[in-house]
This record gives sequence, C-alpha cells and structure tokens, in this order.
Amino acid sequence: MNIEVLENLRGELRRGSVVLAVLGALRTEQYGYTLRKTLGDRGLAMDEGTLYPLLRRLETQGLLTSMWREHDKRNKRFYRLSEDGEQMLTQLLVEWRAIDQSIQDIVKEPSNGTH
Amino acid sequence: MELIERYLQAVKFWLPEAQKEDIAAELSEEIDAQIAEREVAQGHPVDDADVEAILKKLGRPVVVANRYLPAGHLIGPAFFPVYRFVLKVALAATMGPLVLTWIGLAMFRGDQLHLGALWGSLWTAAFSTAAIVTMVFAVLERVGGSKLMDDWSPRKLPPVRHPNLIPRGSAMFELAINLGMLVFWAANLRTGTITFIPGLTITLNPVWSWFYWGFLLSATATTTLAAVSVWRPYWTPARAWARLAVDAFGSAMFVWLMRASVVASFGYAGATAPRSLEIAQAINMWSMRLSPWGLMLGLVVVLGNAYRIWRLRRRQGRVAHPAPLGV
Repeated sequence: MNIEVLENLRGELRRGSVVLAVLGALRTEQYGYTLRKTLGDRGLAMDEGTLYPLLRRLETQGLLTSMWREHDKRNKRFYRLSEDGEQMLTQLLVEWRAIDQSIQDIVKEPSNGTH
Repeated sequence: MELIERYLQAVKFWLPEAQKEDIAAELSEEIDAQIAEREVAQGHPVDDADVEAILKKLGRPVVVANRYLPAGHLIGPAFFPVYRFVLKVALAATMGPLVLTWIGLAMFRGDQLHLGALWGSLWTAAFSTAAIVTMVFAVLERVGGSKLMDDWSPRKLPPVRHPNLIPRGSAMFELAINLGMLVFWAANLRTGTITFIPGLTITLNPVWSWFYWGFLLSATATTTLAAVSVWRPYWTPARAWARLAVDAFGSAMFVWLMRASVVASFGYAGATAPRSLEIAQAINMWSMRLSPWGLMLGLVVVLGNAYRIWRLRRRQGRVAHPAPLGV
C-alpha cells in the first residue's frame, strides 16, 4: 500500500470532519490549548497550525464567538459555539449521519451485480 | 524568552496589520501552554533546546502565518487548464519560427551566426511570452473573467475529431489538383524555355532538367498517394512515412531550386538582351536571399509529417485493434 497516498486520502477525509468535531467540542467553552487536548484525547489530534486558523475562520463565519479572559493568572482566548453555530452543527450532523449511513450501506453490499 | 519573541516577531511580519497582535497573542498563549506541559512532564524548567523544539514543531514562521491568510492564487483552477494550453501554443508559436529561421540562416550564412545567440534569443522569447500570457490571465482572473467559464453548453462543444481520417472531399480535391499540375508540368516545362505566358520568354539554365524530373517524380508520387487516400481515406503508418519521404524530397528540391540560379534570361517584348539578363540575375538573387525562408517552410512541412507518424504510433500503442494497416 502506498503510504503517501493513504496519508493524503486520510487528510482529505479528516478535513471536513474536523469542523464538525470542533463545533461539537465548543458547545462547552474552551480555549485553544484545552480544545486541542480534548480533540486529541478523543482520537482527533490536530496540530496548532490547523486548529487556530480554523477557529478564526469559523468565528469569521459567525459560528463561534470568542473573548479574551484571565484564567490561571494568564490571558486566554475562550471560544464557544454561537447560536448560528448550534443550528449549523445540527444541520451538519444530519448530513454527517446521512453520509455515514450511505457509506455503511455501500460497503456492506459487496456488489450489485453490475460490472 | 528571547527565542519566543523572535519567533512571534517573524510570524507577525507575514500577517495583515489588523490581525498581527491578536494572532501573536494567541500563539504566545499556545506556546506557554506547551512549555508548561513540558515542564510538568520533565519535572524541571525548560531550557532553550526545549523551546527550540517546541517552536520547530509549530513550523516555519511564514508557513504558520500563511495558514491564517485567505488562500490566494494568481490563476485559479477554472482558468488554469486554459492558461496552460495558451502558454504552450504561445511558446511554440514564438520559439518554433525562431529555431526554424535560425536553422535556415545557419545553413546558408553559418559564419555569421552562433549557437549562443540562438540560446539567448530563445530564453528572451520564452520569458517574455510566459510573462505576457501569465499577466493577461492574472488580470482576467482579477476582473472575474473566470466566471465566463460557467457559461457553456454541451451543444456548443466541437464535433468528435478523427485525427487519422482523411476527408474524402479533400482527398479528391488534392487528386484533381495534382493531376492537373502533373499534366501542366509535363506539357509545358519539359524544355529549358518557357513560352506559355504570352509575351514572355524565360530561358532556364541546363540544371533545370534536374528540377523538371525531380518535381515530376514528386508530383507523380503525391498524385498516387492522393489516389490511394480517395480509395482508403485514413492515415496508415506506411502512407504517413511515404508522405513524409515525398514531402521531404519536394522540400529539398524546392530549396535547391531557390539557390540554383536557374533563370538564364527573362525576355519580354521589347526587352534588350542585357535587360533580360539583368532581370534574370535579380530573380536569382532574390530567390537565393529568400531560400532560408523556403527551408523553414520545408521544415514545417516535414515536422508536420513527423508529428503525424508519432501520433499514429502513439495511437497504435494505446489501441488494441488499430485502424487497418494496409497501404
């Protein structure tokens, strides 16, 4: 198996799903570092270079809100899901489950007899 | 720590003014958190080597900054295939004639030309062509020209091409023209004196007999090939090679004719003998001067034939059951 191709395809597969994961995780307010830890602990490790620009993009799109606040004697930027973000997450989860179901059905059936 | 400050400064350099401080503050917070985590894991404060490792893992400052910037491109994906095609055509159109002209001139005036001069001209032509084409497409991209790509219809697509098919109409036309030329040539140009144009008497040098028979042979071969194409209107490797040989021979004869000073005298009603000779010399001189262009034309014809053979070979390599390989 070509490892490079596998990594590329894995990257493509994860790219769309990390948005869902971030939106889902930010139903609870978190700052960047703890969010990254949360995602990593759940098996969706993301590097800083991907997470922080993504958080900014989602905030620009109005799906997240953020504020600087002192925590453990340090200033940290906390993110949480906005109202629009919650609606978007609900819609995206419906899509996600539909895609998941379709793929489960497709891989379950070995062949439809067409060649 | 100085290392962190230098790193943040380098990242900020690439960021837009409005976002510099905010992004750097958040990045600084992330670095601090990673340092704290490492200190807990190690059980002692971090040193410069640890910080260096953390920063190295974060990535090169320009790369880190770039991830915060909107994706930019000079020529977008919609236009890119068109850009690449136009660039190829433009490069071939500018550099091809340059090479062919150089070959033509080098063959007849080799003492005045150097390969270095051609190399320099080629680079200049390639760079300026690529720059102009790229600029035009970049401007089109900026003004939203790529939206034009959305306006299309399957019905406006060109018909399916059959590159190896010879349209029967054009084969018949070629046959008729060649037959006419063959008859005309044999009837009027056998001797070294041309008198079929009213009022003109053109006398040719003895070398003409070579051209007479040479072109007669070439025209006969072309007529035969045209007749075969009417009968079987598709290119085969054998016919493509035959066409290449005939065209190469005809082109060589043509260039030789241009350089052979074939006109001995050009007489017309009332012209004196010295005047007839003077005109003949002028024709010969201009023919000689234009011969590099004749050679260039011949090379284009031969290269066109070579391309046809290459295309046929490539197609044969790809298709399990190629077109008939007969005549």
